[in-house]
Formats: sequence, structure tokens, C-alpha cells
Amino acid sequence: MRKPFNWIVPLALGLLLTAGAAYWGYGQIMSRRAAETALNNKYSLAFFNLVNNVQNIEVLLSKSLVGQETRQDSQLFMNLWQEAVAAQGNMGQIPVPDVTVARTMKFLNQVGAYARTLAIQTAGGKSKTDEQWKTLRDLYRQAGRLNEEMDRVEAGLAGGSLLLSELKRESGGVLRRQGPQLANSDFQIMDKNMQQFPTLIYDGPFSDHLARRKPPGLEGGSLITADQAREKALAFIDRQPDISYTASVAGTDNGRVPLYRVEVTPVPAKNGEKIILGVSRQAGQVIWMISSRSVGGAKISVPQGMDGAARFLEERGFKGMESTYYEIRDNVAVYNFAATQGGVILYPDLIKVSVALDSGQVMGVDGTGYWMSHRERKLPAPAITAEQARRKLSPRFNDITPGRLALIPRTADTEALTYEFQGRLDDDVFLVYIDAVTGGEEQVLKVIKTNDGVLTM
Amino acid sequence: MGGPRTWAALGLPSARQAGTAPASAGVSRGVSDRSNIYLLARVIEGEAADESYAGKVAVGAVIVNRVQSGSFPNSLAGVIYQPGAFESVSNGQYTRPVSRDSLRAAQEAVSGWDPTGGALFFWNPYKPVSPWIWTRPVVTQIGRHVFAL
Repeated sequence: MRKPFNWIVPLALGLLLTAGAAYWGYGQIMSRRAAETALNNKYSLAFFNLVNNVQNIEVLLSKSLVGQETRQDSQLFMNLWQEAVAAQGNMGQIPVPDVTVARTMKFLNQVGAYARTLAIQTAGGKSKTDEQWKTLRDLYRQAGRLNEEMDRVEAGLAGGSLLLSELKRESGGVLRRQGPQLANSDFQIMDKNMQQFPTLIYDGPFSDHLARRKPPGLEGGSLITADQAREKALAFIDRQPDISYTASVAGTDNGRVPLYRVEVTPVPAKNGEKIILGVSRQAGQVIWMISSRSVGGAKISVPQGMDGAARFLEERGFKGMESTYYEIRDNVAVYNFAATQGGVILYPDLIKVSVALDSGQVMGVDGTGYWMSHRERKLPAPAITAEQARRKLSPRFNDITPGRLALIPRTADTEALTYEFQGRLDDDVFLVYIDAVTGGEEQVLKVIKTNDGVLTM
Repeated sequence: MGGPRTWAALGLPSARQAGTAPASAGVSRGVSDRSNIYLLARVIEGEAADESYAGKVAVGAVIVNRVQSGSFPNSLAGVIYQPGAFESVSNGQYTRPVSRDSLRAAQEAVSGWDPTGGALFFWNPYKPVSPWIWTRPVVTQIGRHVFAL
């Protein structure tokens, strides 16, 4: 017998499937829309917070032009510093390409760092100088201009004509090919205006003069040729028995220290080992060395490795280096050595040596800190003795070391002669630095214990 | 009053400023925080998996240099998650498993090794890139990446 309704089953099935797919698709669209909205809201929050921060920065800067009392100023600069930190945090979350906002970001960072420097100065009772007042006025004008630009972007955002997630889509993949478009251009104009901002020189980490610093350790050295660079590299590496080495210059680098990049290949080569060295074109010093060799199980002890590292430096002409710290990672020990001058340890003149604990071979060297700051210094005479400095320490502090003279960085480019004390409070170890000239407490550091890092001083 | 930056530059990675550390201090070269090293290693893997060891350290160094530069966010996570900053973070590729080389390169970069001499940008010149990037002063090329200040 013929079934009259046998088409019903496939039809019902088909309808069910279509409905299912539609329902599923609808769900997808909705969840995508929800995700996009959530993302958009997050971006908008960051942006509107940023607008607020910049407005506050402008107001605080204008107040700082009027205020005269140091105690008030100190408060003001603290607030300014906080606003700037918050502003740059929010800026970092806005989906525009990093280059587009680099200058704006730098402005915010500099305002923050400058405010911090002034906060510290005024808290110490020293009011701001005329020079500093002028800088603050320049910063205030710049903040005003930034504010106007932000207003324009904000108007677009509030009017809904610009969705930040659109921006993000543009910047994510497409931008690299097509260049900035859309509302990016608003940010670009904003950033371009920041370009007119004069370079800011002050005593802080983002000061413009720091980027232009020359390595004093290399000063006066003559320029070397590529051939000489190869020889320097071959003379520097930690040669292993029964292996010969060939070197070639892979290129010239124009970084902070102009270099020849030299590649050294061991013959016979194993595990694709290659040693790469940066040899300064001026004075021909090895600034850094990196080895790609893989490291096997540890066969030598950490102190043995340290002796090897010290000998390595000694043989290469680094005299009077003192070990300060080491850490171990994956059977490689990294030892820090600081230079000394007349028994004073010079923390800024730092060189790091990494040793493979399977064979004791020196794998890497990082002498950037050393070459960027090492020079014969005119150290001040201490005005107080170690014993006098010791009496300035907290009575709650236990197991204190006798104290020794150490030169530490005070700001990005000033240094202070101090007495260094190590001691403990309960289970925590601290390093305390007392200014050897003024007797003031210069620095308190907490030593955070990790499994693989150890202070050796 | 050296900031934590200065202190990290001294090579005292596990010594942190007590008390008045600025909120912006975050991470800087030398803070040997395991989770940070791993995060850095993931980006190195995503951006430079096929590069030589030096090329991997170089990419790590650029990220560390950005943390210290005034033109970028002041923490490692801030730099890495800055929207659109790294392709492998934007497209999720940085979540791939991390090779031992990338991990070691990350540690080396955090410890201060920098074969780029202070570079803040890198890109692959064999891929289409927007022209503005070439306005940056080029430092060097390592493998398939050009590095610039």
C-alpha cells in the first residue's frame, strides 16, 4: 500500500534542521555582537578615563604655575604623577597602532616622571626653580593642546560616528598593509601635534638627554676595521679544547653603540652552535656575546662557575671586578660583576657573564652597563664613618653587615656614594644605603628570595 | 632615589625598592618573575619561532626596551597587550606551546642581553608593511627581521 504522507518526514526533518541552523546562527550573531559590545565598552572606558586624566593633568599643571609653597607643591606634584601614570595606562589600552600614539605616550610618561622628580624635590623642602617653572608652563600649554585634540576624538566617539572596535579591526591586521585610516587619523593628528613639543631634560628616567648618552668607556678609542673586529671576537670567546673557530662579520649595527656583529662558528660544529658578538666600532671592545649552544646536565658547581667567570673577565683585561649576584636558569648561571675603584664598589659599572654548568664554558657576556658608565671617577670623600652610618639604621634591623662603600645610581644619570648595609627584619632581607656624605638614607631595597637568584655580596 | 629601573639596571633583579616604589614601576629589565618570562617567551615564539637564537633574543630585547621607553606602556604586560602592537598577540598565535629556545631567549632578554642596541621596532621586510615604519632609523637586520630605533 502506498503511504500518502511519506514526504512529511523529510520535510519535517528539513524544517527542523533549518530552524536549528537559524537558531544556532542567531545565537552566534548575538554572542558575537555581545562580545563586540563588551570590547567596545572596554575601549570606550579606557578612552574616557584617558580624557579625564588629561583634563586633570592640565588643571594640576596650571595650579602648579600659581602655587608657591613647597608643601602644597609637593602634594600637587604627587597628584600630577598619579594622573600621568593612570593616563599612560589607559592610553596603552586604546586600539590604535603603537607608533600613532608613541609621542603622546612619551609626553604622558615625561609629565609623570617630571612631576615625580619635583615631588621629591619639594618634599625635601626645595622649592621649584624659575627654570622648572618655565618647563611646567611649556608642559601646561602642551597638555592644553592635547586636551583640545582629545575633545575632537571624544566628540566623534560620543556621536557614535566612530566605534573603537572598528578602529581595532583596522589596526589589527589590515593596518600593516594599508597604513592608518579611519579615526586613526584623529589620533595621528593628535600625535603629530605632540611632535612640536620641545625636548625635555630633567633628572628622571624618561629625560630626552639619556637617549643620546655616549659610552664613556669607549671614548678616545680609535675606529677598527671589520677584520680587526673578527680578530677581537676570536680572541674574546671562551675557546674549548680540540675545536677551532672561524669568524665572519655578519653586519654593522647602528644602535646606541655602533657595532660590528661577528658570527663565530666552531669547527667541528655541534648542535648548530654559533657564537654572536657585538664588537664596538670605536675602541673595538666586545659589548655583548650570545651563544646558541644547548646546555646539558650540570656537572660543575655554582662556585666553580663563578671562579671561571671571574677568571674569564680577568684574562680579558677587566681588573678588580667583584661578584654581586647570580641567578641560575636551565643549567646556565648568570653572574653579575661590578667594577671597583679604591675599594668602592661601582654598581653602575656592571657586567654579566653566563656560564654553562655542563662544561664551565662562558656562553654569554653583557657589558652594556659597564661600557655605558665605566670611567675613572672623582669620588667624594666620605664625611661620616661606617660606624656613624650604621647608627642611622632602624633599631628593628638585625644581623647587620659591617657596611662598605658603594656607589649607587641616584637618578638615571647621577650617582651617590653610600654605605651599604645588609640586614634582616624577621625573615626578610633588606639592603639599606646611607649617603656617605650627607648621612641621609638614600635607598632601601628588599631582597626578594627566589629559588634561582642569590646575592653574593 | 634611583627608581626600580635604575636598580634593575644594576643587575639586582630580586632586589626591589621597598615602600615608595612608583605605581608605574611594574616590570623592568631584570625582574626575573617567572610568569613574566613565560609571557615574553610566548610572544617570542609567536613572532620569531623560525628565527635564529640571536633573532629570538633580539625580539625579546625589543619588548624589554619598550617597557623602559617613555613612548610605550611601562609594564611588560602593558607593552605586550597594547592593542595591535604584536601580530601574534592580535591573532592569538602567541598561545602556541613555547619552545625551550624561546624560553631561554626570554630569560636572556630579561637579564639584559640586547643584540639590537636599543631597538624599539622590528618588522619583516619581505611582508607588505606600511611605509611609515621605514621612517624609523634602522639599526640592523637579524634573520628576517629589521630592527629600528
